[in-house]
Amino acid sequence: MYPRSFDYFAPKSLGEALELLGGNPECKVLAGGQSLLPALKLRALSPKALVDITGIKDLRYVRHEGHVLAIGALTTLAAVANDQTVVSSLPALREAAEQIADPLVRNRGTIGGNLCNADPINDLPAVMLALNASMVAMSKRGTRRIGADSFFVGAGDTALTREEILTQVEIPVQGAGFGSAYRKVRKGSGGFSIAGAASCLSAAAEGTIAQSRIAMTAVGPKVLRAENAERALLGEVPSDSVLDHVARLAVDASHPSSDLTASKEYRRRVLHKLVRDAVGASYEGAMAR
Amino acid sequence: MSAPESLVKGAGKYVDDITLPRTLHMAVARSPHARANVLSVKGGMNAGDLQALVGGFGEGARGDVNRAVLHPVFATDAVNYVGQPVAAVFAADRYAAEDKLDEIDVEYEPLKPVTTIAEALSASPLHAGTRSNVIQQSWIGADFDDPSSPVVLEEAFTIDRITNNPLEPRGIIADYDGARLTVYISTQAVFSIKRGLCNTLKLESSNVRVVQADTGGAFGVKSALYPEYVMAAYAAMTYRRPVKWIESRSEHLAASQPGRGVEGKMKLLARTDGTVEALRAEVTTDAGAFGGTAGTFSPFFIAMQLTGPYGIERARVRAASVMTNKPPQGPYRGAGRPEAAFFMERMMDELADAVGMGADEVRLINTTTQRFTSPLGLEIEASRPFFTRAVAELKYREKSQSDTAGLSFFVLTPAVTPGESARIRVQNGAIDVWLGSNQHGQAHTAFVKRLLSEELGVAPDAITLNTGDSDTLKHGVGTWGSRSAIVGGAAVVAAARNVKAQVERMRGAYTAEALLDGSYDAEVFDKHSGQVNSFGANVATVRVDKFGMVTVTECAAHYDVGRALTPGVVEAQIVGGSVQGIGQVLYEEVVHDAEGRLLTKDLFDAGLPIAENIPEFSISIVEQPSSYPHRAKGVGEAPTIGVPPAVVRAIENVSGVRIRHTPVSPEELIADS
Amino acid sequence: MRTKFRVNGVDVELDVEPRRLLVSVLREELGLTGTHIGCDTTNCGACTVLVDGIAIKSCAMLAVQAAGSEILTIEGLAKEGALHPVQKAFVEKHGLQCGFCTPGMIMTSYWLLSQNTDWDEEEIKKQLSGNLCRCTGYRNIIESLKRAKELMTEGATR
Repeated sequence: MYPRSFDYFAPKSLGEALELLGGNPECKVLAGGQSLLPALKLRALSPKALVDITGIKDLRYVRHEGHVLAIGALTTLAAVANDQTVVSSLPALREAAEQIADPLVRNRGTIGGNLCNADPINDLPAVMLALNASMVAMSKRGTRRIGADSFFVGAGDTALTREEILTQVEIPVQGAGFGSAYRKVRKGSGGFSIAGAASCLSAAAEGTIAQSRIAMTAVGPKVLRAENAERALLGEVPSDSVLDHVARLAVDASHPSSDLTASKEYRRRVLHKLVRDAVGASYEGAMAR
Repeated sequence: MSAPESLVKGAGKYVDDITLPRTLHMAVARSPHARANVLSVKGGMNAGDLQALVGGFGEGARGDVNRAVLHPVFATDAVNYVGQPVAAVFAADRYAAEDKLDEIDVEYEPLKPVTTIAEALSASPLHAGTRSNVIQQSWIGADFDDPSSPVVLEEAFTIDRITNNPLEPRGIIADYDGARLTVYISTQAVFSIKRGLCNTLKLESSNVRVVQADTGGAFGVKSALYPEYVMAAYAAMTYRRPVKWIESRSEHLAASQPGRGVEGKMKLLARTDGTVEALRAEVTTDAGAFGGTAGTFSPFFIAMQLTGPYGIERARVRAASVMTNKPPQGPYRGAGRPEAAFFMERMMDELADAVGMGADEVRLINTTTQRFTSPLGLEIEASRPFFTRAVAELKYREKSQSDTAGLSFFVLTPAVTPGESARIRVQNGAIDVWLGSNQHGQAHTAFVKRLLSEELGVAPDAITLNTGDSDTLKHGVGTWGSRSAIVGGAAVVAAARNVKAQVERMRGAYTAEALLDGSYDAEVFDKHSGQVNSFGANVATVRVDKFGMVTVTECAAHYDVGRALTPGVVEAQIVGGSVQGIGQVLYEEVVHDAEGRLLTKDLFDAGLPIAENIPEFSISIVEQPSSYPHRAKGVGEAPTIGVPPAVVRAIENVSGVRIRHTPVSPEELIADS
Repeated sequence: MRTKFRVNGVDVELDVEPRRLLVSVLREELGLTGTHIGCDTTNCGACTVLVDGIAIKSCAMLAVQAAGSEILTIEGLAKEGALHPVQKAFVEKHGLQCGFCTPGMIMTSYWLLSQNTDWDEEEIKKQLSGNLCRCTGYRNIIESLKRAKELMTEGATR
């Protein structure tokens, strides 16, 4: 019910935070706390030290800079879901962000926290893969950009080193002809996702698909791309049979498990429908712009 | 209970809001194994300090079981469910108390747990001193030769366990001054707690006082005596400091007494016109690891009600409670009534399908035109008039056109026995009332004021319903089983008439002025036994999406409440209970793995309904007065009885899938794309 | 660790262990027991308060994280004993039975109403998904929220 004791640091600047991380191999970074604090309360985790980065003011922003949407890692999920550019140009991100947990959790939970948690059932990693986002990581030693394809390494594991903090998420904002969507299913009375599918694609003038990225949540040991499915869409108009074929390829690329929430068979069947829906919706979005 | 005007300001006084000086917080060390021998326990307060058995107190519980199956306060040489208390630690700060749990060292020798009824029947006994894992078994209803009915239907049903999950978990503060033990507790029944503590700790009744704190919901789980309450009391007496135990949600999910958890095998023998000629059934509860709780006795109560509102003249049921390595089963809103109705209503629907009749037609033909006592002991008035009107009111014919609706018809049999107590004291122009039933959201205050202002001719403002306190009433029972309006209300009326008689004796005639002018005190225990049954019917309409997810679009109720003492409250109870009924069918479960470890560990897994899950409600009430002086009948549990079978039938109609258990999983209903 | 914040308009300065949850400090150090604890997995919302005008679950925030913030709890709504329109609406519309989820429901409702958005019923239900109730079945809570909006639009107290 209540956490064990820990040493607590609340750096006021990024520099200070990075110093602390550099010097303290056993600390955990605390952001919105909507995943970390519950774990501490159940004593599933009892880190010796917490570095609370919520006091770092310059990590909360959503900035549209040319063709990139730059989102500060401490931006809350609510702020992400409500941002004008996200709403108008990145439906997949809005659809995912506005369905995470509940409104109160979204008021504190951050985009950075959700991504770094890298829980296989989290929704945002799939969206980042589909949107081909980059994650900006900083340490005492400097800054690097990590593409979404390399960022999510495994369950709870990202490409960040112990000394790095995720500071910014960069998402390409494409113009006309691009569309994206996120579709998921969870238990009717709330809770974690049973499965989710993110699609981002572009359509050529004649309505055939020119580019496609498809990613899947909660159907494997980590977030997955469905590359065969993506390739099968290229040059096609997504008719019913094309969607069916593409969805089957996506399901073939998944590795769902059975657990309390769902059996792997159910996950496969649900995923099939979700991929169809996500691809279909992102296509409609692309054609409408 | 604090008034709504206080509760909306956050000015309620729930047990954790009560602070006494020098309080010690208690944390409980619990078994991680579903079944194990305990080789040693080091640290904390444990069986080395107190050896005692918790008998059956509270709703549906009784003490007449083999001592060998009673729950020990602290585990002695064995543990039998994950979460079973083994030791307790104490500290001035609750965070530090939880830290102290790390100091407890228990050596276990794990054994293979028994997690299903089927396993339990063939496994060796869980408890030394018993011959099997059947706690009690008996046959209800005289035997008969099977009629040569052309239609014979047999089915097996399962209703999974459900955790009560009131928003406020359990909690208690025990305080001992060297002579008297005073306990503040979140509870439905100060009297069952008091009797339980006296019995378990061998305390004199006059030395124990139990006071109800504002209680944040209960639904059955807060009438029982729990080991943790005994520990807190014993620790208070040992340390001479108040001891506070506030349950965490995780503890509630793991180690309180969940309800439901019943298997039913039903065999209907019927004619081709749908008339049921005979019923044979088996009802078995998964009673959990210890006996004496409601789970031990509910199979017999379920069996008694199985014929429902129908005139079935031959019926015989084998009822049994079986032990498994899970927490003991307790009452959960309905406490046997929903189970009985579910089994019968599901068979009625199958019968309708088998004989090609409408769900309403097959029920109609089995209703009674006279008062009827079933071979299982259930007493009902003529059910045909109510049912006919219900089908019309609920517009069942119209709704059934689209094949998305389900109908249910049931009897609510409230827990009237043994009656209830009430005390009225008039002093200085004010009227104070104490009731043996302890409210926790049912607005007893409102009906008490109404009944008393009617009986005594006084303004409702002159009347205060005081909090449950075992010092101010000699005897009392409690709030559960839809009983408060009936027997609590009847007791209030009886006390009022007693006071009126006193006024008449003193002053020659009764007037409200004469009452308020004087000093009077009347406590009565209004004895009641027997059945005060009422009918109800539901129609539910659902939609199922391509993922197999069910949405209940409409939930319509037609209930006889005898007399609606507080109309807004009656509707509120019906809505709340309906959502619980929906929860039972669509979301709620208690799941253990093969090792007996709890998998449903938070409220999402437990499936508590959220605002998005609610349907449109349509409620119509009839008032067929009961023979009680205030004409009321029960209502609280009606929706949990009627809603689940109606929803399940609606799902069957929409999906074409036969459903024999709750909860229903989307996996069973998902359509192929 | 020394921490300063404002609660219901009053400055507070306390020495608290970093591990203490905001809800614990509100209830125990400050005696504001209207904010309740109903679970230990951040589901139920009985602990909802406003921090800097935003509704959050105080069980999923450390007290030390509230440093420098403005906190509003259920006790801060009524002015000089007069119920806030949201509180009045809950009483009027039977939006509570046992009352345990109620402070959290009211704080979330207050926050929703402060956003000046025309929520329809579907949206209201979604916005309440972080607040659980076991007694009422939510119907009267939704009615209470709608009634609160009417009362506030009519310009009642506040």
